[in-house]
Amino acid sequence: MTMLAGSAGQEAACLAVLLAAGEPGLGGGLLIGAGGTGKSAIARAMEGVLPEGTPFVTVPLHADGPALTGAIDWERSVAEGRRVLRPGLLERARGGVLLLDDLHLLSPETAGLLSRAAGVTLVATARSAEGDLSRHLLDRFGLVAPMALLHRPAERRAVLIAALAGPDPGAADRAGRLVAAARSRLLRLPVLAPLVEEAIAILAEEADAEGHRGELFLARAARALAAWEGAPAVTIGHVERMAPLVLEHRRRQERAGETPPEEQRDEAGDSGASQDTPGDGSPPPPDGAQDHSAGADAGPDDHPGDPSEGIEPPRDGGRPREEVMETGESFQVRPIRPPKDRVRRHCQGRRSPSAARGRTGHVIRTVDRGEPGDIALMATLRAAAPFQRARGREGRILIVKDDLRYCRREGHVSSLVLFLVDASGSMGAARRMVAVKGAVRSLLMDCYQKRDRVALAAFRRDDAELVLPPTRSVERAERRLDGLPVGGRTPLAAGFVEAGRVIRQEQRRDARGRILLVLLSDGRANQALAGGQPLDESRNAARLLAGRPGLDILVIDTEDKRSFHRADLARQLAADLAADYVTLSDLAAPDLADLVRATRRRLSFH
Amino acid sequence: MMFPFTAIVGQEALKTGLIVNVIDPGVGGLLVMGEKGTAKSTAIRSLADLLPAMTAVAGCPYRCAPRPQGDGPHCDCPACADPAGATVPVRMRVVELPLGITEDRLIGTIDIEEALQSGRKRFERGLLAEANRNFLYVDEVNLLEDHIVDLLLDSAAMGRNTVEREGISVSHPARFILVGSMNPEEGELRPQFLDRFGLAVRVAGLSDKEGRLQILRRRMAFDADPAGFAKGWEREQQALADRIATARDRLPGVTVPEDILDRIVAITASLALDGHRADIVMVRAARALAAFRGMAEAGVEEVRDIAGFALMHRQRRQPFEEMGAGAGRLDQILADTLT
Repeated sequence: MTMLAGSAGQEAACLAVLLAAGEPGLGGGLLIGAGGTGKSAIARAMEGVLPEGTPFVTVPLHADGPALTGAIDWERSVAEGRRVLRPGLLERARGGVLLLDDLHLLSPETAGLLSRAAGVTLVATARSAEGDLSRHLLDRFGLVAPMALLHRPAERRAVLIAALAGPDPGAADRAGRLVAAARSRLLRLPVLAPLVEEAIAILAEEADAEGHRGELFLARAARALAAWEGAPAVTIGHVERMAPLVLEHRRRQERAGETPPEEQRDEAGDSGASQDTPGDGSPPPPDGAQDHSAGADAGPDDHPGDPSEGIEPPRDGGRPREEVMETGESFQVRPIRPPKDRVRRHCQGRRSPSAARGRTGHVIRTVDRGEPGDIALMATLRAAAPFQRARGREGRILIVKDDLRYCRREGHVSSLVLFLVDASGSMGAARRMVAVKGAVRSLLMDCYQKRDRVALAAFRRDDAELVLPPTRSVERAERRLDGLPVGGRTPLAAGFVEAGRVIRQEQRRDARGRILLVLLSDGRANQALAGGQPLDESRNAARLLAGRPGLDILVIDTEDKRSFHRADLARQLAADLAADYVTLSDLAAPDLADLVRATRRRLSFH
Repeated sequence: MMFPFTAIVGQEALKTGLIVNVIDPGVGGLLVMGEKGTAKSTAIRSLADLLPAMTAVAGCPYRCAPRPQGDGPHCDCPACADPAGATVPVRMRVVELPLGITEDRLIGTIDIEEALQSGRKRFERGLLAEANRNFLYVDEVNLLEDHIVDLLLDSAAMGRNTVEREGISVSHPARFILVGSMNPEEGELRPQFLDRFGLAVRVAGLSDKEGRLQILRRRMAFDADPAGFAKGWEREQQALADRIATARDRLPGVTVPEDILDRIVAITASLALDGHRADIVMVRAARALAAFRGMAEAGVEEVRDIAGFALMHRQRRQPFEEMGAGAGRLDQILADTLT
């Protein structure tokens, strides 16, 4: 099916757009995939297949609230001496299609407005591995289609030739006629057979979809498919084929983290971890957290001597308890975004949202009172417009003090991200450290993209050490990480004391700065600082850090959750620290496109 | 007075990257990576200076080409709407995008003075309007604010700038040759931005004494007597200008044989690239290069000469691996594919 421009080899995306064009009840479609796979071309080609006169409105990236929902038309208000409203993009698209390219780049405010938009079909594109699309917004789309990854020369050739030839207006016309025919067939389709209805309910339940929109959209999608194909009635086959596109993005979050092990993203960055799982021929999991493949044959991680765990013998043979392990496979981490606090800052960076000082950040809204001098001219003009006649304007616009509106700004700030890593001997067990290093490297990549500064501290043997003081050089952090040895006991309390020292020092340097402490540990402690109970000591030290202004804490639990020695100490520790908590295996961002692709393959959809 | 393009010593990759873009703007721009003081800005300005004038609709604020020439989308200004309108020659310029630019200034916004003076809406054009049919040069593009880069690349991809703000709805053509420079040591661009640049080249200062000496001598001669120096290069300049003009005329007729397409997709398939921009860019750049070399079809030579430019910034990399770190592997693939 290459009737849409740029759709060579992209059946799912193409079908999503054609069905959304034929059935407005689907609410639209979202195409997800890597850059340069033709998402935008396919979405834009929808314009050509819609019935004549259907509005097709593109939302530019910079569109703000007033541009979408409409605002006072000050020009006419000035002229007519009364408030005249001007419709926004949503109104102009009513009964038609609103196109959003790069959905992931829209501001949260704009995304919020769109997720509530009624009476329009939303067609959008987004990159799978970038930003976080709110579930609320995802829910708005009846269909979410992944872009196929075409790696074979023959497939690439077809894409290349189509791209060089450019859009074919004849093909668009033909597709338009087919869409129109499908629309009229849709009206005549008989109601769903009870068996088909049941299949829909079962699939939705299986997918553990949030809410009940999934069933409704699946029913509509199956009908739309049947109409598109000219079938006399909707069959279970139609339902099954549409299910991945309708249900995958509605799965509950917990399930979304799981990726079937056979679904491998790519072979790049194959770490040494898999070679240490004897008898397990499966490739390492795509999320890089090695514990999937370590799987059943990985033993309890506090028995480092057990040979059945596949521990690599010390390479130099001389120092059995000290070892530098390689860095595991890295992955895209899920978004880590400390919440907004009340401090106004100069907004530079990308980590956490923050109220902005000075002229930094974006204007998020205009207010009656604000920073003197930061006047919002257009809002002021809109406020003054209706009164111009009454004020007897002849030439210039007459503005009085009550008209003045000010900018309220918001932006993002970077953080100092301080990594506190458990490098004790137990991390060598089952080679947990390989995965931990992979996780830290992945987080470092994230820090790099968010323009954060980083620091690295580790605790092992009988002390904690600041391996790398705060720096902008993520590369240096990476080198230090690679060289970080494991061995010895676990002085967790000493780790907290060291972190506290770095944090105080940093806050003396910049009182408004934000700090994110990332602790990678299983929560175990067996080396006391002052001769007390190691675990009590560390919990007390943790409480000293909790709730400190400007400090956010993330605990990444490195414990193997399938181990039968699991103690879940890190979760307790996170509570003591008032920290966010995530397990190592949940740190990877779920890739929606991969998920949908995986299910589609299971159901042999095409 | 501009330092003549043809008098620039070395930097062949940079020159080729620019010329190919000038012959076919569809190649999609150029990212120049390298240290400061390597003639990046000079090269672009002097190339623009050398190019013959283009024809534009007289009075069109976006310098649209007259309609029969069909050069891309048009604006809706009255001058363009008039089929019998006059035309004027315009030179291609280098429009520079400053690092601290605001969104308003980039895409354009309402003319606030006019609004307050007269109560009327008027669109104040932004830098993207100025950039139409010109070079848009961003020095240190990696230091640009992310949301500005987003807006910039969005327009670059669409060839249009659409403005919806303050009650203004305007859409105008914004086709430009985007040239960005960056020093990779000062922070990278996100991979998705890199992919949007058609080609990327690495520039470095010349390391040999002879080359350095030659640069120094030419620069001194130019500074002492710019007009005299330029006169000495007039023939070379004219020859290059003619060659580019001929290549542009010849471009539509230059073909890309089937086996060349096969080789190109074999290269990108071996690199396991997800997107298809590299394939398209390679075809277009090879064809433009063939046109420049006076050939009727693109051959293996052309693909070999531009493949590195099209792929260096698109290869999959390990985190923190330097761009071009996979050069050895790429060389191997090229050697296997292009023999």
